[in-house]
Amino acid sequence: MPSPLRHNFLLVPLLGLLGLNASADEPSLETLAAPLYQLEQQISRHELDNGLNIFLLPLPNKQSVALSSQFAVGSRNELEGESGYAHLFEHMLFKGSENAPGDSYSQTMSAHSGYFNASTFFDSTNYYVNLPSQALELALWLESDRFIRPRLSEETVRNQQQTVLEEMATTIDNQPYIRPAMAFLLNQVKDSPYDHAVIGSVDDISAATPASLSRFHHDFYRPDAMQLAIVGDLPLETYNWVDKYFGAWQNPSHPQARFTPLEVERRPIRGEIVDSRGPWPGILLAWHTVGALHPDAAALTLVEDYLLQNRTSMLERYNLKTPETLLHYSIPLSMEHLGVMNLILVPRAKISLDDLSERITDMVELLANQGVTPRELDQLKRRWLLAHLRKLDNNVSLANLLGTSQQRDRTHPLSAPWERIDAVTQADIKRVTRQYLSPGYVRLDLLPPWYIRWGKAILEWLPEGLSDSLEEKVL
Amino acid sequence: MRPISLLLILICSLWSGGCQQTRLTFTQVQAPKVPSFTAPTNAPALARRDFRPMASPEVILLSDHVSLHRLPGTPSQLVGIHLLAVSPYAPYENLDILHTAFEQLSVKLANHHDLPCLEGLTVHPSIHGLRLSLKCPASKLAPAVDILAQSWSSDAYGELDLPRLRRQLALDKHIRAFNGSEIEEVWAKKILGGEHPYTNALNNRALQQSLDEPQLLSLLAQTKAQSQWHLMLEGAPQVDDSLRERLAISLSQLGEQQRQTETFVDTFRPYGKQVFVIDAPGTVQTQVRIGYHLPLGQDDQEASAFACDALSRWLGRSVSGRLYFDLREQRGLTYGIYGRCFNNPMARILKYYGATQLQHTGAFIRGILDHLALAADAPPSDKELAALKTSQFSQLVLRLDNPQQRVEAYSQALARQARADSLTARLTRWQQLTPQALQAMAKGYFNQAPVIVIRGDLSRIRPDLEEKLPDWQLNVISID
Repeated sequence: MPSPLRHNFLLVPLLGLLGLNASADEPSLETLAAPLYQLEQQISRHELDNGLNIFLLPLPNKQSVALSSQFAVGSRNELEGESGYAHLFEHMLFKGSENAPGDSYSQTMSAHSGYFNASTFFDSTNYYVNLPSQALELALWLESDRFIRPRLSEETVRNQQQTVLEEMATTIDNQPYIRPAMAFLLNQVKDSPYDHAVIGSVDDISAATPASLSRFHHDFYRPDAMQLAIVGDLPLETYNWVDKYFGAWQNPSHPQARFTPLEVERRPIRGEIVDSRGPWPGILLAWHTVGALHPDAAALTLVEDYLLQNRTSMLERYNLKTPETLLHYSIPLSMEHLGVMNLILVPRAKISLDDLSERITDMVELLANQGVTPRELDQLKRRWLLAHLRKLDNNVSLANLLGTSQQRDRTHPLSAPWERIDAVTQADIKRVTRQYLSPGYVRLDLLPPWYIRWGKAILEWLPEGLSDSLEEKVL
Repeated sequence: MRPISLLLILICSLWSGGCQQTRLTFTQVQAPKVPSFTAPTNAPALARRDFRPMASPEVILLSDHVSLHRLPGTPSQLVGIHLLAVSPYAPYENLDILHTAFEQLSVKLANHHDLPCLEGLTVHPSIHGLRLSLKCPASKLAPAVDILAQSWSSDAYGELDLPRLRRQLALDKHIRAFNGSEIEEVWAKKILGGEHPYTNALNNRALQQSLDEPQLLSLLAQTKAQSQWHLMLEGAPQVDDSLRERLAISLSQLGEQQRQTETFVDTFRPYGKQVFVIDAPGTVQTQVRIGYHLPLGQDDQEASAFACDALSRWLGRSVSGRLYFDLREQRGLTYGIYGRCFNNPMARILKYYGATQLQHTGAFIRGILDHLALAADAPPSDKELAALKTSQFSQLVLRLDNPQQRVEAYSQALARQARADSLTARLTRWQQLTPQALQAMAKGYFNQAPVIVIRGDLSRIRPDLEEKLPDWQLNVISID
């Protein structure tokens, strides 16, 4: 088993060889970021008396509008026995309201839009609509009606329970490893608001009733928990329409639920799951980072990019020279009070899961000890900024960017996230890597049935050339 | 309750045999329901706006074999740079190999060039086109075009790690089996027919396994030789003489098209009432593909293409399509079922696709077949047709406002060599469409047995299929 020290010795010159030279005519970060500020100048911000926040951004040469409605309610608001309610209720909002009963909401939106949907996460639920601007007032009327006055029936609840169970089968149960891996990871934050899956359990979903879901709506769908962004070809009356349709909505008497940052213990944790449908072993690594509101969140975003995310990441560069994985991908999860950096690796025949785990440990330690050069930091920021800028070019993603912006960014929803990234220093990169990643990670081995595991173990012991050749044959 | 259910699920995962063999209670067939299209009461009226079609892009000839197309800019003020190769007269051969090679090349390029916008390089393949796309600061336009052009050079491919490329191609096949998308390969083979040029253009396992450098370079050379080249720029600065010259020099290495026209006779023959089944033991859902191989309509291409589009949308346009409305929203048999028309120069395919849990399999497939029969038997209501027409107009407006969709639609039009006025003609057809004409289209196609391919756990769903589809023959397909 190679030692971490030897790997550092190998990694340093290897990554150094791939180092890049600065380019003289690259625009400055300030110049590149200018469209964020220019666009921000066009945004009008409003707050209705009931606390509903609004961003309006008119764009020239458009004939359509995009609406993003974000509610501060997600699976973390669910009580014992109500797992999956936030998501199930999101489904119910497409199934009828006082003035648009039955399927008339979906039919009307489908005729005028064809591009409308919703998503539920741990902290929030988002609804978006994209439609020709001539239908904007109709859309605001329909949105307000379903958010304020949904109508649930036994029949529609039963139907959407079935649909959610189909969704569960499609996204979770039809794939090996996913269900038990999800349970293992959630167990790491047990007894916290994040300790159950957004989609919920079969039992809780099946037990939901129109009354229990209506109670959920009453408790959590409220104007002071909503942020609305409208982008595109905005008629002059847009704000008046929002006020007309949402202004009379009253908040319930109880205050909004408040949550506090999670205390997580950062230490190595190891587990394994065996799935008879698993075709090949894999490994899932997860580091507890920080929530999106934490002061170190921006630095950790760049650390994740540097280590795992980009085509120029440390992992990608290492794999270019020494291909040890059949595939790998990284999925950062960013909740308000919890962050998780996830990495899934599938090894080549000759590489063991332990080898892969060590390789990643070495990369983290290298970054913790050596940090990044000024030029690497500039490139990281530049890549982040380019990705952020690309989101401006699609009306729906721009509306969602505004609709999901944090409360602290209310006056600068586009530029403030960039300024936090721009403020990250070389010292920050080293510090957060040491503080949050070095202490260890959760490791979950994803194992196929015994005969595949044994075959794989033999391939690891064979001489490299022979193992490679067998791998090619097996594939 | 939660810990108990999680434990059960975990035990099921570890001992899948025992838990999964629980006897299924199959869902009953129901008569098809169609949406009633009741408008909300007291809804605000729509504003009156005149639709503004997109101005035709400015087209500049950079050389005899490369055209430059200038499209509108975007709020990011980045320049969208798209290098498009199209082969309208013959499909690209082995584009799956070239696509995977491009993906690997993109990682190499990002690491070897000092151009951060290369991180966003995307590859968009289709059977008659391949587009490389980037968004870069305007000052980086010329070097970015240089790199895109070099991406087609044999030098770039000479440096690729070929064992890795072969591994990736083989792995992709296993991933498709793992996630179920292998059904698309079988579907394509069945709906196109074994002799169709598209069938043989992809999935050449022998070449994928033996691929060496000469073979890869030969594939690259062949692809280039049959390509017409277009450089599309979104939000580019004025193209002055010096920029034009620089771009022309960059792109000169792409070479000229050697016109290649594939002689093609469509020999597809329907299969009758057969369900092709990919047996996937242990899966908890059945994936379903149902559709028709439509004639290309040599006499009236536009009419045939329009029928394909109209029928795909009538039944399969997501939430308001009849299939989604009934099978998901009324009966909860699926998470989604959709329809799509694939209108390519050498094949026109109408496809409905979705997935369902094992116990619903028979009812789900029967439900789709009953809707096809109903569409052939009776016209839609005026309100249903009006909603369909409105959605067409809305889609058009949204597509013109969405830069990605705009570029994709423009690329497809170039690959199909569509006439400039084809969009207007299509809109006119939609405006003139009557309920009876739509029913007649359905009657023309849906009265014959569709091609059906499914993937699921056959031992568990066979009794249901035999009961719900008694006059259909199950034909198990083996996958190599």
